[in-house]
Amino acid sequence: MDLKFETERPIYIQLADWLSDLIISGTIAEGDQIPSTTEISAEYKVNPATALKGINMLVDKDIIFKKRGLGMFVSNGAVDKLKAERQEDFQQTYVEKMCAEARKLGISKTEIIEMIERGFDK
Amino acid sequence: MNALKVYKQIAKRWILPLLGMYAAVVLLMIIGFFSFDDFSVIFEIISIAVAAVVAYPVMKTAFTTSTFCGASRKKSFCAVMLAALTVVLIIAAAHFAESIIMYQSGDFYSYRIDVIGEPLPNGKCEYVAVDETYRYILTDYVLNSLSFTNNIVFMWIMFIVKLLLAFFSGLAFFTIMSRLSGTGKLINGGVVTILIVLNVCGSALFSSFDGYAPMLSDSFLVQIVPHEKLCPVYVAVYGLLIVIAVITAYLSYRRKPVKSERRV
Amino acid sequence: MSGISIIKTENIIKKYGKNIALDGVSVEIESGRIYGLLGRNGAGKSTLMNIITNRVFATSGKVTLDGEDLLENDKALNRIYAMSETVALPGGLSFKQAVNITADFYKKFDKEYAKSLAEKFRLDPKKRLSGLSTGYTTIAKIILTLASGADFLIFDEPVLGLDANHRDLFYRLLVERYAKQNCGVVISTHLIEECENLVENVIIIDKGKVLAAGKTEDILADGYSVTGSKKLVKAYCDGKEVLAEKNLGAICSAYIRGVPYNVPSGLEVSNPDLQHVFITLTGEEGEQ
Repeated sequence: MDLKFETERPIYIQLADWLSDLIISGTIAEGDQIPSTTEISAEYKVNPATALKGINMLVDKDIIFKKRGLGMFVSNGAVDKLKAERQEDFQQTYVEKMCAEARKLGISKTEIIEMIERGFDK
Repeated sequence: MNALKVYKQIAKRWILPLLGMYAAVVLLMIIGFFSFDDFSVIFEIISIAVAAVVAYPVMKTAFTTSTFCGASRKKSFCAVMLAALTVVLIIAAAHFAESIIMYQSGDFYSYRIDVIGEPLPNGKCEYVAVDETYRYILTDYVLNSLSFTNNIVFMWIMFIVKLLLAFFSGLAFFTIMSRLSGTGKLINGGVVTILIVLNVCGSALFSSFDGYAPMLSDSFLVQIVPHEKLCPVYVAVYGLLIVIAVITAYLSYRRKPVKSERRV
Repeated sequence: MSGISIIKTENIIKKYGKNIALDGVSVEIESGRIYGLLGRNGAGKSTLMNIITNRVFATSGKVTLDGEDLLENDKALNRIYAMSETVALPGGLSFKQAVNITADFYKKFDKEYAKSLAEKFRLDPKKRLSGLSTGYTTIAKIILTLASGADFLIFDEPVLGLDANHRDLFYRLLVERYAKQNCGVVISTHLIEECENLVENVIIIDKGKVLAAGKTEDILADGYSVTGSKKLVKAYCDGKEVLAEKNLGAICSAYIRGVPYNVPSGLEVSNPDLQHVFITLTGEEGEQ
C-alpha cells in the first residue's frame, strides 16, 4: 500500500498508476470497492481535488465505476484492460529507455538479449 | 449580539465577583461590622479607585475575547461601555445602601432646613432641601464634597458621572499603557498625564474644601458659575471629560496590537 | 455554504514605525480550496493573517469578503476562524471553557466534534490552556479551528511542536473536515514538505511582498532545473531568465523560468519540488 511521490510526474497520474498497480496485482479485486477520495487524500496528504482527478482518469477509462451514494468500484474486465494498456506502454517506458542506456554503455544487441534471457529465467 | 456575548464574558469573570464583593461589604455594614466614621471615607476613595482599576481586566477580557472570536473592536468596545455602566451602578447601589444603613442606624439627627451651618470660607452658605442627615451623609461621606447642591437626584447623577469618569480614564490609561512602544512613549505618556490631570481637575473645579479631600478643593467653578446652575454645569463638564476619555480609550483600544509571543 | 466565497486583500501595506511588514499585498482566497501561505520567518505571513482577521489593522489597503469590507464587520469576521500564534483566549481557561466561549461566538461550532478530537489527540479538556506544552497548545488551537464551523479556516504554523503521529492525525482530520464542509483553508507555514501535495494553491511571500501566487502545479511548471558541466549550463542559460544558480565543484545547476527546449545532450533536466522552488525564490544572494 505504500506510495511515495516523485516530482517528475503530476501527483494525480502517480495516484492513478498506484491504483492501477493495486488492481493489476489483485490487491483490489474486480467488483471490490476502492478507497474514497477523502480516505486517499487523508492517508497520503494530497489535495482531495488531486485525488479525484486521479480517480477520474480511471473512471474515464472504465477501469472504475461510480455507484451513486455507495462509492467507487473496480469494473469487470479492469485487469485485462489495464494489462493491455501497460503492454502497449512497455515498449516506450522500458525497452526504448533500456536501449538508450545500452548504447551509452556500449552494450550490444546480442548482449542485451542474453541479459534478458538470464533475467527471465531467474 | 456580539457586544452582548463579549459582555457576558466580562460579566462572568469580573462583574459578578465585583457584585459579590460589594454585597459582602454591605452585609458587613448591616451587621455593624464597620464604624461609619472610619469607614465611609475609605469606602468612597476605594470605590473611585475600584472604578478606575477594574477597567483594566474588563478591557483585557473584552479585547482578547473579541479578537479571537471574530468580534469587531467596535462591538467589543460597546461591551466595555456596558460593563462600565454596570460597574458604576453596582458601586452606586452599594453607596446608596450605605447611606440608608447609616441613616437607619440612628446616629444622626434628621431635620429639614434651608441653610445650614456657618458660611463657608468663601462666604457662601450650604443649602439643603432634603433630609439633613441624609444630605450630610451624601455630601460628606458618599459624594466627596458635592456640597453645593440641594438636589438629591443631582447628587446621585454627579456621583455616577464621577465614577464613570474614573472608569474611562482608567480605561484610557490602561489601553494606552498596553500599546506603549518606543517612539510613542512620550506622546502616550503625555496623554496619560492629561487624563489624570483632567480627572483630578474635574473634582477640583467643583469641590469646596471639606477637610476630607483637600487635594480636590479648589472650587474654581463654584466661584464663577451661578449657584443654581452648578449641577448642570458639573454634569456637562464631567460629561465632556468622559467623552474625551472614551474617545481616547477607543482610539487606543482600536489600535491595540495583538501581542505575539513567538515560540520557536 | 452555498456558492464560492472569496476573501480578497487589496494592496495591503502595514508599517510598524519605519519597518514595512507588508508592502502592497494583494491575494485572493477562495472557499473550497486549500492554500499554502509560504514564507520564511518574519516574511509577513502572520501579519497578513492578523490583518485579514482584524487582529491588527493595515496602514493602508482593504480586505473584503465577497465584496464586503471585512474591517470591523462582525458578520463577515464570524465566517473566518484563524488559529493564531498566541494562546488565544483570556488566561486561566481550561480547554473546555475555551470551547464553550468559542461556541458562543461561532454559531456553527461543533462541540461534540471538538470533544471527540480532544479524545483523539488525548488532550485533557479540564487542563488549563496556559499549562499546556507547546505541542498541546498547538493541538488545542487546531481543535478549536477545525470545530469552528467557519467558512474559512486559517492555520498558522499548525504543526508547531507536534510529534509525527499528531502531525499525521492533523492532516487527516483537516482533509476530512475540508471534504465535508468544502471550506476555504489556509495553511501558513515554513515547513513545506509536509503539505506540499495537500495545497492546491500557493502564495509565497517574502519581505512583505508576494513573490508568487497561483495553482501549485502552475508554479511548479513555471520553472525547471538543468544540471551539467559549468560550461554547458552557462551556454544554455544565455538569454534565459535564470532564477538561481548553484555550483558543486565543476557541476553547475541552474533554475530557469519557462519550459525546457533544445536542451543539449549532457544536460539533465529536472522538475523541482515546491520546497526547492520556495528556497530558490526566497533565498538571499550568496546564501545557498
